[in-house]
Amino acid sequence: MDSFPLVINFQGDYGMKVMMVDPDTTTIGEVARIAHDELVGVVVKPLPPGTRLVVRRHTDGQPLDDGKTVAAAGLVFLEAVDIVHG
Amino acid sequence: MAKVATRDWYDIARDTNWTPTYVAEDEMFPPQFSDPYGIPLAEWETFDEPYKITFRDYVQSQREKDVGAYSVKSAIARTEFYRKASPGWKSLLQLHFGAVSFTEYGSVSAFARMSRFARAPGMRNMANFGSLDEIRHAQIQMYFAYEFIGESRAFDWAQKAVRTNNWVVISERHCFDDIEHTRDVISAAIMTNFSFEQAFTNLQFVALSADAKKYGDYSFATMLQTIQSDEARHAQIGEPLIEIMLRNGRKAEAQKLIDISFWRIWKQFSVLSGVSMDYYTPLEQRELSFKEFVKEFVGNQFLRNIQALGLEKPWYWDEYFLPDIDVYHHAQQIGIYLYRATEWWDVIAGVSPAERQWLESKYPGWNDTFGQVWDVITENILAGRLERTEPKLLPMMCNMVGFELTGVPGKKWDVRDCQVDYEGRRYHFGHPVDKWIFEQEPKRYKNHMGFIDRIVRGIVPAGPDGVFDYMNMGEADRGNCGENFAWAESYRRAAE
Repeated sequence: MDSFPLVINFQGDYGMKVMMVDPDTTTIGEVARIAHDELVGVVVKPLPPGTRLVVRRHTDGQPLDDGKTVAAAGLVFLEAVDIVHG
Repeated sequence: MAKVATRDWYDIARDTNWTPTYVAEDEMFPPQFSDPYGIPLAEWETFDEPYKITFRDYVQSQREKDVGAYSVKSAIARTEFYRKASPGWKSLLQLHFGAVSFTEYGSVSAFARMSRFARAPGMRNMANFGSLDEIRHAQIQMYFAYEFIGESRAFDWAQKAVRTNNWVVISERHCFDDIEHTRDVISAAIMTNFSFEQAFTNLQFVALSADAKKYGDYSFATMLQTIQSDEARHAQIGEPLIEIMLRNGRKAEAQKLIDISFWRIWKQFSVLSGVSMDYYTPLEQRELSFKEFVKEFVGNQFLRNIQALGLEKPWYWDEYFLPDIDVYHHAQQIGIYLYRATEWWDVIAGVSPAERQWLESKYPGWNDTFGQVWDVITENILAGRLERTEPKLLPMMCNMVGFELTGVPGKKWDVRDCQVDYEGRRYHFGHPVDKWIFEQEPKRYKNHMGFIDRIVRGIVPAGPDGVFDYMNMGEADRGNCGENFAWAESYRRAAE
């Protein structure tokens, strides 16, 4: 159930957003994809073709593995993550 | 009978201190309410307000102000003016009356507490006038707002706002509860009368009044002026208090009170006055930019006042406050437009080609930053993708300010979240100063649930209307684009 909030800091956006996920099934790669779909073309201009998105922990800039789930990546309730161009 | 000159009796008449015999001094003036700083009574009795007024003179001057304000135009003429006003001016009035009226009403009790618990008789006297002032401010603003109810349901919020959990209202309550209503009367007076009223009310009541006059809204301009003349008087409660604090070795405490309250009020006014002046006021009628008004009223006048008292400018002045003048309200304006359904007023974009040119001239770099987001919004409107102008993701909000956690977008992207983990809960702040305020007294702030906290913890009912039900906003209460997106057409015309 999508009841676990993450704070999303998407490159180019004016402010941070909240995304509700299922920590046990949602992967970091999916977090990036959902953020892209919800924010690009809404508050952020289309990204240059081939742009790869990297998710990293906001506090220490530590990149997160796309294949890991939110829980496996060790993200806490209301953890802030940056989603930036790789 | 010869009349005795006021100066010959004023000080004696308002010196109402006495030595209690039925109760102990501390029971009559509990330190936690009256003076946690332990300053001797003899020192408080030196409180000397710079502006002295008798009750007789007060009543006469207030009556004259009311006569002036209420009689500028008849109610019918005011309604007629509103109908013909630009969408931006309508937005400004809707925002102002909903956001300001209840805070004025709240200030009545803040001053009443000073009247009851202040140990300085002169302060009690001034605070009595302050309560009466704030009653008048609440009444006149609710009265003027009420006249427009037939024109827009948004004016209902002059009375309704305080009884809702609208996110803007939660933010206001958190700020004003902190500085006005939940501290001892000395701290509250320094924070309210000095930081808030001397630094910032000029922005909304003098600067905005100048814009209103230029726009031809003489009723609103006159009403604002009469309010500010009261603010200017009772704001002077703060200075004698600071002088007494400094004489008694409490400079650090006074400085901290100012540093906290200045920042908290800055954030509120940055949005209320900043958006009103730089986006809602029609271009031709803008007297100065918000930044120029802030530099004059706050950067020059207030700074002079602080330094004249022997205090320092807030520690974050150069590093954080001055840069914030260039960015905060621009980012907030984007969010206010996008999440318009959650606000009681109809919003205005204020970014036509001519307005963007003005913004770029006043805030160099605006097009490469905030303008980048507006480019996307404009394209969506022109392409008919209105559903893309309302994000599905919720905005993150600052745990201190209660507004969106924002920064600089676009080509100079810089959005930062300052975090604190405290007793098992992660707190998010939009700025290092917000975090600093929390860290000064975590116990004061730790239990506050901001709007997003209430959503993610399941306090707000689930479902598509849960958020609106929680905010007491039926469909008719929700804000729309005040121009019905027609502003974007100017880009199509420009392209043709």
